[in-house]
Amino acid sequence: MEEEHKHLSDRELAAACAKGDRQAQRILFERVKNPMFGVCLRFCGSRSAAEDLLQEGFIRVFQDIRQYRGEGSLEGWVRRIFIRAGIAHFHSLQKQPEIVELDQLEYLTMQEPGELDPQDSESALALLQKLPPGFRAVLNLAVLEEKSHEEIARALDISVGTSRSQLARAKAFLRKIVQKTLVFA
Amino acid sequence: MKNDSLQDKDPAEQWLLETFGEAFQPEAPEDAWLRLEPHLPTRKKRRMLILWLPLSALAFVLWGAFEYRSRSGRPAVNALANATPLASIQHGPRPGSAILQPHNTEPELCANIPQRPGRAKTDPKLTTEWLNATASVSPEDALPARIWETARVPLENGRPRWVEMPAPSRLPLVSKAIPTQIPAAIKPVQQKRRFKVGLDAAPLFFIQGNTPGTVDPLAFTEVSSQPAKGWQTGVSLAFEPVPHWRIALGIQRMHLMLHARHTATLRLMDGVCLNPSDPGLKEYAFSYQLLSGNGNQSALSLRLQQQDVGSSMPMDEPFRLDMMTIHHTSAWRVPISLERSFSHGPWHFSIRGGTVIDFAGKDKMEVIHFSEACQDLCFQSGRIPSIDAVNTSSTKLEWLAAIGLERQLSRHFALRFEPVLTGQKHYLQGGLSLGLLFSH
Repeated sequence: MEEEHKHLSDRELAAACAKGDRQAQRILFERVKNPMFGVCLRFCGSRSAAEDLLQEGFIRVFQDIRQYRGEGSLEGWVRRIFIRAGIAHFHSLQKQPEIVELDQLEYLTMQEPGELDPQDSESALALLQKLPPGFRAVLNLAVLEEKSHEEIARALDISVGTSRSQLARAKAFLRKIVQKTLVFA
Repeated sequence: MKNDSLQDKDPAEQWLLETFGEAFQPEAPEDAWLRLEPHLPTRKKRRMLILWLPLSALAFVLWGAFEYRSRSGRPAVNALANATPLASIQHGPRPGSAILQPHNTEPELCANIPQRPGRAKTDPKLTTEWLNATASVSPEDALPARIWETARVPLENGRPRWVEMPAPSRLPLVSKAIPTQIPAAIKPVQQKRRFKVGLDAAPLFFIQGNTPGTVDPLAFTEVSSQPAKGWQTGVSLAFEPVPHWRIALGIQRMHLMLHARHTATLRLMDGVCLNPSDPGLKEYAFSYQLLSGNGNQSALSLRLQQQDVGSSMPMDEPFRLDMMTIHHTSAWRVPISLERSFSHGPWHFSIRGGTVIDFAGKDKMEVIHFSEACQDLCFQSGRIPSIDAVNTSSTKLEWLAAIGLERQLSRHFALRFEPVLTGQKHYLQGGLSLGLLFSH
């Protein structure tokens, strides 16, 4: 049966998943789990939170998969689901007030380059996850997902000005880290 | 942001895109699927087709169609396309009165309705007769025979008679099919319903008389300790060639349970030894006829085994077997009868007589007690032997008598209660039948 599903188009695979075909669901899961886990890691402040978000995201995917109309790739549609899940995760964090300690950011900027290598993916991820949720969300949406400030403002329920300032501050912070290691000329 | 190439981005953005772009695909946890699977929606099982839903819908549609046709067949509404109206009815000159007018009368005469009763007696065109005010007439009912008979008799001059009568509670609706100025028309007196189909069910009680004796040494009669009880259901079709007389034909299924006992006196020489060369316990097979009080005959075969090896018993020495049995009998019956009915309003009383063809059915015998008594107790006591009973009865002809009470529930349906007696020379069977009749 797994062989049968391998030859299915995105639409057919989605239809099979919608019918509750466990094999089809597994196929789709295996196909997109790693990229989506990457999305989750970018949005969340910890690996455990990312794992929870991964599960939550896939539950949403299989609940809403009937809505996939074949427009665009299935992976792209799944990615949008996960982005929405990431945004929902951000909103849930907003309900739990997090005190952004500026000295935490300053601490990071004061690290010696050897201690924090942005080219190392683990370190890079650790750096991203240490950012305040607002910075992290804006960076994800603006840079990695290429959303406009208007879209970001609507999604994060902030003003366009806040979105711009948050992005500027986040980029400035990252720039300090990146330039310190002289990665880019 | 959008539409910017990588080169145009600042170092921070470049770093983000290169580090966390499409190539960023970290390994998901190994147990991710195991944690996810229990939360996934499962395949929806197809609901079993609930057959009774479409069947109920079909039954409802059929019933609705039947009701619609029935209603459309009621007099004075719109059944006139196929029936020639025989009379018209319209408001009379006095409050609460109506004029019944047989047809074949010029429409313009409708306007010449006398203002006072009595005066019209001299009117050659019509006569009026103020009938009993208590007579109730409604469009759904047949006209009282008295009114109709009066209206049908023409005047001496050959002109049709108009009859003034108490007005029904409401006059029939106007039918657009009537090409006359007469406001309404009614159908003639309803025809007698000629066919009736009935469903009936009846608990049965058997009263058995003495079964005649037999000279056959291997035939025994059984006696019932209580009347046989059972149940009978069936359908019937009746035809009424002339009013109040019906010929009915039916088919019924009867189930009876009879508690009985019999004593068979046998000898070893009446049976067959099944293991003559066996030095151990001998086994014998016996067969005999059993006559039941209801006229049924059964052929019994049973096997008995010695109790003690070595004890002998003369081959011609009789021994007795006592058995208590339960007969479960099922049979088809065809009653044919002639019925005379008497009506009073919605009630009908009937007397019915005829014959019943009783086809031999299946007879299952259950032995509930067995004991044998013989001088040497050479057979095992208390052990129920294996018995095969085969109904050897032939088709019987029984007489039938019944009196019935019927209540008309509606135009088509009636309920009937009918005590029934059937029997032959030596037995009598009674039942209380309750039936639902449909007439057309």
